[in-house]
Amino acid sequence: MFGELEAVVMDRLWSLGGSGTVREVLEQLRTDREIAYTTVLSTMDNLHRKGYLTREREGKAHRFRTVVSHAAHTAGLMREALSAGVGSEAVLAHFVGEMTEDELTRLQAVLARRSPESGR
Amino acid sequence: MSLAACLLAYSLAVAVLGPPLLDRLTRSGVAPRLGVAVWTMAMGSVVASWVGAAGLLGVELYRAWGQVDLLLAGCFATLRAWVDGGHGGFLQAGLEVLIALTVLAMALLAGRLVAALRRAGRDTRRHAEAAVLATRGAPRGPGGTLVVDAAQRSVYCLAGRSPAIVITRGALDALDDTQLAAVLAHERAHLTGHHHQLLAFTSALAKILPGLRLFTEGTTQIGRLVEMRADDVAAHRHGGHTVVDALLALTIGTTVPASALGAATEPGIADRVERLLFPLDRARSRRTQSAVLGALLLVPAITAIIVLTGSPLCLTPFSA
Repeated sequence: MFGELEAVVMDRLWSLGGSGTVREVLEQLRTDREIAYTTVLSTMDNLHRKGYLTREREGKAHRFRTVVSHAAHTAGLMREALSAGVGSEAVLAHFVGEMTEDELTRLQAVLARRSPESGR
Repeated sequence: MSLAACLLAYSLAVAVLGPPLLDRLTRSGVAPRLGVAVWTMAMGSVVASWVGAAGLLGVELYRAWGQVDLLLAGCFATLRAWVDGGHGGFLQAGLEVLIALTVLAMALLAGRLVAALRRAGRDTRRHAEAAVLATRGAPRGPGGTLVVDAAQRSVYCLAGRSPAIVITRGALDALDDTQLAAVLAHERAHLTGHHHQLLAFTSALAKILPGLRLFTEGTTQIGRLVEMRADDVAAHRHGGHTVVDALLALTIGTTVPASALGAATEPGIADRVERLLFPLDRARSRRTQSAVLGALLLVPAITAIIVLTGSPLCLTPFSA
């Protein structure tokens, strides 16, 4: 699966309050895994290229900032998942979508016919 | 030329007569896989007959001039014919311009189809990536799912190079173990049945040709039928009542007003529940199944008739 490391780096940036240098993220990551500076650097560059991070010079290094908070990112993801065809053309297969009032009425009519012993 | 015209006439007939007929045949959701096949066949045969016609016309055009700049040449020829007052030449040149325009339109449609498919692929990858980021690198949930920390109850899957099932914390909390297993079986059936790829293709067609009911209605119906197919797979392993309970656990209390724009509202929940709880009796379902099968065989039959016996009708040479 792609992006696992990207997810970990985003997680660390989010827990650092939304901004950090490669060095700062690296220190966080080194508490529980062996990882090279260049790996973190290229991961953060990737995230920057994809638009998840912004970057500005700070002395000799770059300071990276998350574009949105974790909560906003999740909310955006859910919005995109639920509003098929608005802004995104991602092909998703939902187990079940949201119901309209009309559909609910029809569903209730079907369920009324479900005999007690055949269900629970 | 006439064969191309026959192909175009065939596609017109399927485009006009297909939707109401197929809608009636596949509405009940008996044998959803056959239903998907018959809609796909109808849509595919129309596209194929366009490609065939465009190919034949293209060859015709190439023979007529044997050079590039066809449109331009056609225009000049038309003008000259008009100036000369030669009727036969005028008709011929006009026809060839028409052919060139048809071929051009087909090429344009093909280009737009490819672009739409690439957009869908890119957005799907992008969404999968955003889903992975949202999980903050946390371990996968049951069955290798991506668990997104959100209150709404939602489960969906994404195809592509790295297929994934996304489930929200809200949905996980709402489902018991057997219901969750049924939901995951349903989503995996989408992935193994390549339903995404099929839907990506048909919705791209529906998007670039919004005026053709065969494609718009066909996409809606195929969407409905693949849900039923996935329900059947899940019900086969976990029981129809479990699937119904899972559907209810994820929907009750989440209704949106019918006017809510853009919401991925699902028109078929009541239908899905109904066929899971009250399957059609054997005789009726066998009748419907035969009708669908008949429709499925009708398409290649008509094509064969056009090609084999249509020679006097369809195979007359163009310039005769």
